[in-house]
Amino acid sequence: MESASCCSWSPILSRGKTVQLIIEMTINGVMLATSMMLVGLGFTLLHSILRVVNLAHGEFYMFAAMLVWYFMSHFHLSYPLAILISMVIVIALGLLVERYALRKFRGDLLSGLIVSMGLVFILQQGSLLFFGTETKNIPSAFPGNVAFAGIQISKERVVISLISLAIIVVLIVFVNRFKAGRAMRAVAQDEDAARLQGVSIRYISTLIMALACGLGAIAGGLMAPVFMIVPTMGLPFLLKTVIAITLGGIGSIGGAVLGALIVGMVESYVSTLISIEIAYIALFGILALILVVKPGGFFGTPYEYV
Amino acid sequence: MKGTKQVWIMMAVIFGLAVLLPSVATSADKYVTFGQTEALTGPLAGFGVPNKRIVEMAIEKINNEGGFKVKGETYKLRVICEDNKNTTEGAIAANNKLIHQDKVKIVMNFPTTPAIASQVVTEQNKVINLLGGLHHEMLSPKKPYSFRHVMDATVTAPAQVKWIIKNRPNLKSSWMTGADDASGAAGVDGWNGACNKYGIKVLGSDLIGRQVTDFYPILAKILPTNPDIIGGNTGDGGALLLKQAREKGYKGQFATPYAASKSWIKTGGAENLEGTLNIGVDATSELVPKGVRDFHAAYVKKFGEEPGAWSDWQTTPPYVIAQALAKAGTIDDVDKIKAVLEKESFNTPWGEVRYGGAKKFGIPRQLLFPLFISTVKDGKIVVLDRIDGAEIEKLMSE
Repeated sequence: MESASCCSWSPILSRGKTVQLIIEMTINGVMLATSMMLVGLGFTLLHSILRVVNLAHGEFYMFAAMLVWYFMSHFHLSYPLAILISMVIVIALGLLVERYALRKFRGDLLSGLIVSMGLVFILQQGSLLFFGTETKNIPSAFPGNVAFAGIQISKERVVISLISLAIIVVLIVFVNRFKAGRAMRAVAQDEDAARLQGVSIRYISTLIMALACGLGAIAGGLMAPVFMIVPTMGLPFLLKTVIAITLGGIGSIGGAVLGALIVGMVESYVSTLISIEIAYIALFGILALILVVKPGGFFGTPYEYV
Repeated sequence: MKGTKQVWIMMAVIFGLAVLLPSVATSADKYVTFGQTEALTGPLAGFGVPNKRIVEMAIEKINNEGGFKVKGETYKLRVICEDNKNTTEGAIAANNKLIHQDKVKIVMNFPTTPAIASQVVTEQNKVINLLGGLHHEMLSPKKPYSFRHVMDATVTAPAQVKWIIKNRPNLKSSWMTGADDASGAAGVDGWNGACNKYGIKVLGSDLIGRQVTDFYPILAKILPTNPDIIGGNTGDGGALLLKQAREKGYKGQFATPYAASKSWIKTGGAENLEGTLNIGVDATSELVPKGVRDFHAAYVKKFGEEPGAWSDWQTTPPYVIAQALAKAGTIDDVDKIKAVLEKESFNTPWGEVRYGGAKKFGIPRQLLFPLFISTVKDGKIVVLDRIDGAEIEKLMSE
C-alpha cells in the first residue's frame, strides 16, 4: 500500500502556495497545542505539587466531555451550563480520588502509577457501561468558518484557542499574585518549609486537585463539540500531553505552554509534509534528544517549579 | 454460637441452589456451544459490544424456534464470548481458552487484527473459524478452516467503483484514507485497486492511527491536490476527518469503501456527510432483506441505540452453524462440517447465502451477501442500488 510519499509537499510548493502552507501548518500547530495546554497544566501541577503521576487525569477530561454530552442530550441543558455542572462533578470526583486513592501514595511514583492505571480502567469501563457504546457528539457551539490568509478554519477552534489562552493567563496571574498561588509554589519548592510557614498542605492538596480537575473538565467540555466523545479518548490524549510537559519541564507553567507548542508544531508540520506516523516518531525522537541534553526539560529539573 | 451456625447453613443452601438450579433447569436441553471473540474493551468496543448482543439475539431466536436437529436429536445453540481487546495477544489467549478449556469446535472472531491472529490457533487445532475480518489474506487454501462472513474492500470496491464510474462519471480522482491497521489497509488497498482498474486517478492515500482526532495537518496535504473524492474509514475517526474537510472548505464528494452507520453520521454531522457514498445498510429500505430489518429493529427496541456498523452481518454465523451441523449430521466432526460449509447454501436473515470466491481466493471461503450502494441523505443511510452476490463474485474475480 502506498502512503503519501515523503515528498508529497513538492506539488503543493510548486504551485506557489508555500507561504500559505506555512501559515496553515503554523495555525494548525497552535490549535493542536492549545488543545493540550489545559490538560497538561493540570497534570504538571499535580505532579509537581502533589508528587503523583496521575495517569487517570486524561479520564477526567474524558468524563467531563461525557457529562457535557449527557446533560445536553438527556436534560437539554445549555452548553455553558452543562460545562459548569460537569466541572463541579469532575472536581468532586477528583477530590475523592485525591483523598482516598492518591494521597497515601504521595512521593511513591510506582504505587501512584499503578493506582492511577486502575482508575483509568475503572473510569473507562464505567463510562462505557453507564453512557453506552455509541460514540457521542455535541453540536458545534460556534458553527461556521473564518477565513484567514486564504485558509478556512472552524470558528469553534478559534474560540477554543482564545478561551484556553485566556485561562492560562488567569492561571499564571493566580499562581504569581494571589496568596493561595504563592502557597502552592511554596509547597512545590519545599513542603516542610511551607508547613513551617503555616501553609496547610492538606488545603493545598485539595486546591491543586480541584484546579487540575477543573482545567481538565474545561478542556473536555471545550473539545467535546470538536472531536468525538468515546470512553477511550483520555489516555492517548494524556500521553501526548505528557510528552509536551516533559519537554517543557515538569512543574513549569511556561514550560507546559512551550512544550505543547513544540509538540503541536512538530505534529502539524511533519504530518502535513511527510506523514502522521513519522510525526509521532519525530516527537519521541525530539523528546529523547532534549532529555539527554537537558534532563528536566527546557524549564525544569525534576521537581523544579514555577 | 447458634446465630453464626444458622448463617453458615443458609449460605451453604443458597450456594448449593445457585450451583444446581441452572443445571436442573437445562438438563433436558442439549446444547452445542461455539466460541466468539470480540473487542469488548478498548477503542473498538463500539463494534464489539453490539456484535456480542446481536449474536445473542440470533441465538435466542434460533433456540426459541425450536433449535436444530442433528440425526433426530434436537439441539440448541450457546455461545461463550471472550474479549480479544482488539489485540493479537488478546485474540490468541481468548481462542486458546475457547478451544482448550471450553472445547469448542467452531469460533467466530472480530475485528480484523484479532481475527487474523486467531487463525494461527484455529488452523493449528483444526477448529472452524468464522471470521469477521477485513483483510483479503485471511482467506487462502493454506487456511482451510477459515470462513468469512463479512466482505472486505477487495470484494466490494470493484462493484462500488464500477457503480460510481457509471452513475457519477464526473468523479475522476480520489484520495482515500484508512486506519493504520489490517482492516484500514485492506480498505485503502481495495479501493485504490478498484480505482486503478476502472479509471479513477488515485492522487494519494493515507493510513492514520485510530487515536488521531485532529486531521487538519493531514488535510493541509490532501486538499491542495483537489481530489474529486475524499474517503475515510468507518471508524468514527473517518467521519471526523470528513467533517473537518468540510470545515476546511472542501465541497467535493465523500466516499467510504465500508458501511456507514448512524453513529458515524452523527460523528461527522449529517450536513457534512450528506451524499457520502458507502455500502451501509438502511434498515428501513425494502431492498434490504426483511430478516436484517427485523433484527435491526429488534436491537433498537431492546437496547435503545443503533447496532454497530458491522452487527447486521454478525447475525449470520449462528444460522450458518445451526444449519451446517444439521446438514453434516454431526456436532463435532469438523471436517464433515467444513465440507458442508463449502458446498451448501444457508438460510439466514440475509436470505439464502453460500460461500464462494474460489477464483479470487483459491478456495470458496467468502460468504456472498447482497451489496448495497448507499448514500447519506438527511442524516440517514439511503440505499441507491443493490448488487447481488453472484455479480459481486464475478466482479471481484475479474
